[in-house]
Amino acid sequence: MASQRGKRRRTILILLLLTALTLITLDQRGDGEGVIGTVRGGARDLLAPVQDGLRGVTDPIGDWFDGVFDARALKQENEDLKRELAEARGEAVDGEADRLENEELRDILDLEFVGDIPTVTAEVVTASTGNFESTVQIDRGTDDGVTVDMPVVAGDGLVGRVSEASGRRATVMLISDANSGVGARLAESRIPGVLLGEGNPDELTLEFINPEVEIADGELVVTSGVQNSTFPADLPIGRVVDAERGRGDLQQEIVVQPLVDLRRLQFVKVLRWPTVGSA
Amino acid sequence: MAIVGVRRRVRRSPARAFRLALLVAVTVLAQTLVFPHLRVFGVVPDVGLVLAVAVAYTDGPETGALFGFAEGLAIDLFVNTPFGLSAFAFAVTAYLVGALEAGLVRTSRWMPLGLAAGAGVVSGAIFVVVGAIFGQEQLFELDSVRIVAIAAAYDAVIAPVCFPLARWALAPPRP
Repeated sequence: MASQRGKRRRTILILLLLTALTLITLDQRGDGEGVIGTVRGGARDLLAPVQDGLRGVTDPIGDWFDGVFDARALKQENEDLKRELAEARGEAVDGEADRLENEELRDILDLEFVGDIPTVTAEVVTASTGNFESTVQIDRGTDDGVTVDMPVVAGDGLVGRVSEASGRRATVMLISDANSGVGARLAESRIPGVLLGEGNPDELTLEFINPEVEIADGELVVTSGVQNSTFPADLPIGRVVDAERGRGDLQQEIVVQPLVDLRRLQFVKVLRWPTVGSA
Repeated sequence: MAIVGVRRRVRRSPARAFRLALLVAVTVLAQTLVFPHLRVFGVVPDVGLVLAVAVAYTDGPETGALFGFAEGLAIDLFVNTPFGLSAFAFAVTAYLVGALEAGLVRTSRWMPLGLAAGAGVVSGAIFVVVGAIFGQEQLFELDSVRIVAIAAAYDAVIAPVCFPLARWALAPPRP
């Protein structure tokens, strides 16, 4: 009797696991679209009104909770800001030169980067539900003209791209997501590479840069916008904070800090950019 | 034989099935609407996993695996990792907890916390390894050990809420 029950249990478990593996395979082959993509989109749309209704309650609680657990980070940020303020006071004499440099950079890089590209303004409704992805969900979807692969920006630069879209919601894969790869280039030297996310909202890695190239700390990194790219050219992404090259290395280890604070996104713009091919 | 018959009727009771389905719905709401705002060092707990563990601990590996599978599928609707991956990890982990519980001689009030934390580690490891096998190699590159460890600790924290909920859902109908 007991062995029969044990056999039945094992059979049920094996059936469940086979079903799960089949679903995983179907999802992987459909690349997030197809039946599974439709079901996922429907579920998110179904939850959207509840989500909207509860935001007034969950957002303040979330802010408080962030304050408790990010206290050390906030303290560090506070110290950094004080230091920056002191440096800014010390460098006031150079302010005019900086202003001119900034203006020049603006002209070169077109920091009014949205330009003529039509946009959809959206609000971030929630961060990722899981632990192994860096995404946010926005309150706009295909009903508003948002489709998969459209670039998403915030005030300072690139945030990511739309990875899934349903009628009323879209998921934005942040540039820090481990699946994210953005065709990028160093703004000054114009050397192209690929900017990869590693799950850390403060650090991206710029790869495929020749070890012979001299790279200055603080150098701006922008989208390369090569033909058929998901992203238009010259969207600011981040600044180089570290560049290392070991003897015999075929490429440099370049760490880039995003310009946008990916932990605290509130409003973003979806660029209705032609989405042919990928970055 | 008569006792087995009664247990089967209890297991198939519509009220019980309804309460378990309600738990899945509540989990989805909590995991998608509440816990993304309650991150600890950027990490959320696996509410569905802890409930599946609690169900397995209370009712055995079969119910635990079925419930874990349902919870995992429901959560998979709202994440970007492969559909079915959480279902796989939750079902296996809940089955193991149910099987482990059957062999337990002694229990303690701390058992739910220990089980939830242990299950968090096991489920996280299954998620990363199976995900990597299915083309999600980036799961190995992430700070996965840190994420799994924090999530497991967080799972232990919510266990005292989840275990009574599971007992309520699995309670036999009143005569």
